[in-house]
Amino acid sequence: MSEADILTMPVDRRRMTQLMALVPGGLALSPMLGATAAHAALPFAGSADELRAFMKLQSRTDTGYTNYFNAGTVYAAIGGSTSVPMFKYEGLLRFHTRVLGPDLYEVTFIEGGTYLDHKTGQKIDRFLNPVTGKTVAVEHIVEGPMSWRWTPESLQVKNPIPILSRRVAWQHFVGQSWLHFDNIISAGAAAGPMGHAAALVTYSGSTAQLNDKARTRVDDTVLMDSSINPWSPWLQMGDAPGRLANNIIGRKLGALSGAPKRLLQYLGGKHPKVLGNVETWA
Amino acid sequence: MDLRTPTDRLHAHARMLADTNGSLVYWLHFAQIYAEVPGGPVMLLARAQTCAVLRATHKGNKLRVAYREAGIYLAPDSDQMLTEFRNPVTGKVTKMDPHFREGPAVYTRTATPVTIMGNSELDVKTQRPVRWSWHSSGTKIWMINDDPGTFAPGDPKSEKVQARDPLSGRILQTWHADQRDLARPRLTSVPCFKNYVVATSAWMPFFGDPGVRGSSFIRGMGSKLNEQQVLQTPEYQKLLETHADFFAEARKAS
Repeated sequence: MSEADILTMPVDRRRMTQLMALVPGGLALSPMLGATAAHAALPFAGSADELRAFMKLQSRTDTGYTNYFNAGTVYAAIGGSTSVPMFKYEGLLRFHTRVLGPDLYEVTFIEGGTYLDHKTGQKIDRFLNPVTGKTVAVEHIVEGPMSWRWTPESLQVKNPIPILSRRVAWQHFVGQSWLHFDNIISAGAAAGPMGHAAALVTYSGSTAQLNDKARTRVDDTVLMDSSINPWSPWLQMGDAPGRLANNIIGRKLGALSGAPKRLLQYLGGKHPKVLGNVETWA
Repeated sequence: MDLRTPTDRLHAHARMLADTNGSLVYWLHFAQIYAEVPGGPVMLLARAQTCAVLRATHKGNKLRVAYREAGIYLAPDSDQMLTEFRNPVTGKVTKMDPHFREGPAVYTRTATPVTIMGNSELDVKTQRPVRWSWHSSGTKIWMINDDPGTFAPGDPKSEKVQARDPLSGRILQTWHADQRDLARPRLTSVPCFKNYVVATSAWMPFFGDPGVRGSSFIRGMGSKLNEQQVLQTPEYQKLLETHADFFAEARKAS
């Protein structure tokens, strides 16, 4: 079984049993089943430790790449009414970490992906907007590159524009560590009457791996993205009140080849820079 | 077990959500409550810690879940209980009870078709379709529950329910488990955690009426624990003590 067997694979007991034999440590207990205590010791005791824990969970503490395969559904959230599923999304999110000094990291990100039909899961190029009733041409996603420098202090900075506020909060339960990394963002007046966004992302991974000082990264991180964003211009929503709201899960991959072939083929054809080295991202 | 069959999917869900040997399980939840009004940034209004206890019975095409939940509202940036709330839109300060309870309630899920009926506290008896999707990657397995909720704008009955329960909006829950655990048939309670978003269809009660159209939503995480693990968790031990009568009823009820 390879990492490419992801997210859409049918699951039965035979496959699971194969998995137990093939995945390193597969015969061992899962981290959650092996955990005896509800609370784990906090993996850090100060801001430098917190920064290293953040880096290990989200990406890595040595120089190199981190790749996530993200998939989920995007909804139209309409205040005072109800939310409507719009389309599915699958994409590749890549971080490149550079260690610039003790507790000083530069992280660059790029993301490329496609929107899929909510029901069939097939890539769409035209979209019948259920809110407006209009059919529009789809603009698939390529975002970045964008870089940040992370220090213990910058992780805690509350309001560098366009970040209006940031919340970094940790929880540790039953062998899992969760990091809420929430950024309320000013998207500027151009985004319309509700011109703000909120990047609400939770990372979850094994507390044992986070505590392992020999590791530079947590291998099994899962990303949960509940962000809300202004309407994308290509949706032609006009003055319709509301937002896009994500329900997206991502898994940290061992290698780039762990992403589904159809996504890699799409990116290789349309946005090959996303698959290249950081020098090619700009 | 074959997750391509509806009844096995329901059974797998029952083991992730609860304990199919009939024992009580505990879910500890941490949530953030956000609101936004036109032109303004997304606002973190409050946080909540809750403890839910539930007992499930799974037979064939039906999963019956009896649950109750109690919790406290906390300030956005501290662990202080929220005893008064300053509305960021109106500036009005109101006293509030930081404690809340939900239930007891019962809901029923069916595998074919995939539906949910509940919750009994609100007397919502209609069976409504929900969308389930199962995904796997590496050792991980996820079940996503997309419940459109009970709110139907313009329907007087629905509007009435909404007025009583702002959580009648869309509920998106993802349960996370490990395939290695699910592959152990004798494991009646599979370790599990979840993340969820509730897109509320009305302002949360403590927000009052800001006099503007907008929306609020709840985003949270939950972790399934047994009673022994709960008792090792000081803040939740306190919650169990505060609502001792409420949870004692759950232990007695079948």
